[in-house]
Amino acid sequence: MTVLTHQQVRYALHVGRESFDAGAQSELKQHLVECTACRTYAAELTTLQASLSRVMRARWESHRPPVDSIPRIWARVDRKAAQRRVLRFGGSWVTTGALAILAGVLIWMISVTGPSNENPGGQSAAGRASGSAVPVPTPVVIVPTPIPGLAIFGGNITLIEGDLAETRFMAGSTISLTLHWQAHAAMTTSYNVSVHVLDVEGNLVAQSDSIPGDGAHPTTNWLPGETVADQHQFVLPDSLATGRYELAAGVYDAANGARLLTDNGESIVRFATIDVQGISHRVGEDFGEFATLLGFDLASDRLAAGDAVELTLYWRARAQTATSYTVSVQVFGENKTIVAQADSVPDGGARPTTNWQPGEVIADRYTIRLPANLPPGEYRVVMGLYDSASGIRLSTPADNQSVVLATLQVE
Amino acid sequence: MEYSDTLQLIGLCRTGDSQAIESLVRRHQSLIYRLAVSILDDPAEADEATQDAFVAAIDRLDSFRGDSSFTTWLYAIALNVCRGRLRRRRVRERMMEAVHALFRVSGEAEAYPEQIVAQREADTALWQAIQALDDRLREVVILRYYHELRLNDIAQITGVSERSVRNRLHAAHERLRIRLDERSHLS
Repeated sequence: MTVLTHQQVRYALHVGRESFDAGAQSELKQHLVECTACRTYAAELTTLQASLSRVMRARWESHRPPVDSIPRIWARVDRKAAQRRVLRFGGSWVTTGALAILAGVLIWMISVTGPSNENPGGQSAAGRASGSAVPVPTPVVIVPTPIPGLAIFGGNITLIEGDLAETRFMAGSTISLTLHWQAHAAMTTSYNVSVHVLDVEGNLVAQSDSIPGDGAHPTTNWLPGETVADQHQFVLPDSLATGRYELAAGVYDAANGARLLTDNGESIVRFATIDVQGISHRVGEDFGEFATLLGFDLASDRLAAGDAVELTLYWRARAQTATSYTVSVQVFGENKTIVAQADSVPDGGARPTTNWQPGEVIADRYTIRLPANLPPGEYRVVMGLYDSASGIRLSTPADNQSVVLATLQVE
Repeated sequence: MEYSDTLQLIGLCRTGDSQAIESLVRRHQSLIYRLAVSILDDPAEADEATQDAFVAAIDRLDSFRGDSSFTTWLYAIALNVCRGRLRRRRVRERMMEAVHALFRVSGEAEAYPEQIVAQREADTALWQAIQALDDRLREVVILRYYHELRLNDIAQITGVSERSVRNRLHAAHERLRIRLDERSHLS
């Protein structure tokens, strides 16, 4: 029997296996092979989950917003803007009145005669106030029309846009985006959507393909005129070099792979640009089941005595952990003597491992000062990971409790 | 940060550009209406909630900082609007129940739409079990199995941690299973 308990297996089944790393998923699978009770439980749960989707779709899927909905939304937005304008206008009148009284008092007090430089009246003052307000939208007549987008695939599917919450990523991190589509006619063919990551020369460096809606909303279910928000999530290769990359999307027949072309004859359409920070030294060592050390950046490997070693480790969380681990970075001299060391909860305590989310890439920075009297020579930078509470070190799959990162040349 | 098209569109909306606002509404209307229907289970009220959500969102566009995708941000606003409507609806329902009890209003039992829509007995039982869940559990079930959202998106929309979403999903499954077992309708 596997090390997972029945309770852990059942919890994993409830929350979705994608929350767990490959190792845990493998254990889960093994447990299900060996345990009849949990297998039965899994089957029941699968039936329940499928039934939930089916029942809710049957209930709501046919509902569409009324055709006059957008003009009514617009009217309310416009009305609210008008109310805001009235408030600003009224407020400006009150202010203007007060200023006028103050000006009159001042004129009377100092008996100044001649043309006044004051603004002559509330009307223009109000006009100024109104003019400085947030521009008020002008009502427009809205006629349902196809949404202009980036491109139309196969004369039928418009890619309206790609929606990205952020545009800066670490190599090896997870990118989430939403593609907004609109179909112009019902489709009998199920099309897959492909998202491509291209380097500056247009070379493909990563690709993610899926049925829209993670398989839940295939193109055969799209209604004419419907806009579809199609979410994608994939991991950028940890080998990506620092630089700018373009994201593009394409559509192809799921059955035979034939791509739909745009009006310009293109098979993919670029919709966003992202900046990726690469990892200068790749490692790729798993520590336990919860994290992988993707690699590190070292500011310099040629140092003098008294200098600081500037090191950034890049971790990818593979599963959640309740254990707070401490990272230990040590600098070894000849004869395996430690000449400098830094032990810390990741990133100076800011990113404890208990808060790492699966799929997340964590930048974990260290500054280790070398002794001022350190003799010239070669020194090795080594790192390891241990449980802060018990002191027990985590091992790599090769059963190593530490990883040699780099060799420093101290002059 | 660079602009994606949505961010540019939002920028234009913030200046009051009418066409940009129209475009923003048009792009997300189906999505928000779909969410509202699923939470409120009433197409007419969902239409009103959709309007409320867009009015609120356009009013608060300055608060969108791009920490999440715009769709997630909009979902969160719409969910809050729907929650408010559900609360008001329940107050109305309690008042109506009180009035009915007071005047002993009698008549045929209402034909609940679910009894018309659900074709199978098991589906009817499951539908009733979904309706019987607490709001916080039902929301997670709807967002997960109807809107097919990921756990981290659900966490952002509902304003709780991903761990809480997992626990709610687990609790919802358990309650559904128990209720269905009791009725012996789970096929």
